[in-house]
Amino acid sequence: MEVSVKLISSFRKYQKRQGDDRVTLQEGGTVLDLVKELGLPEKYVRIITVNGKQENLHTVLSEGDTVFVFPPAIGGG
Amino acid sequence: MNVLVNDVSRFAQQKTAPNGGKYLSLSTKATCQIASRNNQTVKDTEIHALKNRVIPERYQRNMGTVGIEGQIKLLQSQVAVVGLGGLGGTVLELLVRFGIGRMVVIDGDAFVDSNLNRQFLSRSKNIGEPKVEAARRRIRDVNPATEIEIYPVVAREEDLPEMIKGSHVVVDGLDDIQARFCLERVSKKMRIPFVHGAIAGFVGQVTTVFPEDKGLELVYGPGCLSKSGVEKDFGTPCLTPTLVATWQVSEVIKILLELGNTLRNRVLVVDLMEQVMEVVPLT
Repeated sequence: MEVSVKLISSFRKYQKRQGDDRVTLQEGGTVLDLVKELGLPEKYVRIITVNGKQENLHTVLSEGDTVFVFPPAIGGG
Repeated sequence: MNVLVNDVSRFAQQKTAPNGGKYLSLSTKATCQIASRNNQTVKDTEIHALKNRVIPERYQRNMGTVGIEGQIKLLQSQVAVVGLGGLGGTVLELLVRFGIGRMVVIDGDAFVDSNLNRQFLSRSKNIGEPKVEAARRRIRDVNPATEIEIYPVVAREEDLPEMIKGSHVVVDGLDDIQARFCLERVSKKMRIPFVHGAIAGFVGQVTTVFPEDKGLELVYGPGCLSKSGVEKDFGTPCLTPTLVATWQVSEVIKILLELGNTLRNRVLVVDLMEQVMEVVPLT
């Protein structure tokens, strides 16, 4: 199945192909599978949404889902 | 008090607002003179004028947004800003111009050269000056109605309650996660809403935490991220601190005046590089 993933901040460099947000996963794949497929550093994946709803690493994805993962910022000084 | 009433009426001038409405205006100079003649603070003089439907001219452009009652409430409010860097310094500037009556600012640092790209309180000539001192001077220069209490210290959990007590909102201007969790804990304990903001390169986030909310745990996760995450690689240009600080101030004003929708239980994430803005529910 194919899902879309929106990557920003330090995660952008993990995009498979420039300008293409599609990722192919096995049927029944989870957000964690997606994270591993992209090679994202798992410990920084803190905010996850699927189709705009907050989810977690164990959420099972479906064909056409849009996933947004965000590593929260730390700075402020 | 009668002299004060007379003074305000005497110095008030009728003006026309940009929308064509007529109003009674009090200049900044007249406000300070009246305060001095009557042994009143500038803040109390302004509140008194507003209660008599006389608008201190410095707030005239606030009126359409907050109104007379809102402006009085802002002048009667106290906000604590912890950390006076890119976020905190900008938050302070905006709140003082809004007309917050009392600010508590906490920061143990002095300015260094690398602050100059983004920290508005820093100048080429005040490198080495404690940040809270620059804050005190800036407030005095911009709005003498705002009272300020400064703490030139690194905020420790045991000292924070005494410093932030009486504040209606606490604003996060910090730059590490442990300190943020600590400030959130104390704010919750003191039953004070807490407005979080953080930045990394062209990316930033904002959320508002009320005492009963889970808050930062839902942003950073229950186990703390390391102090120096990948985000540190992005540095801190001047764009995101001003952007995120603006969002934080809008949260403060909405909390104080009970306006609109806050980012309570939601985090706003923005990436200027890709024009991404998401409001993610936190559950």
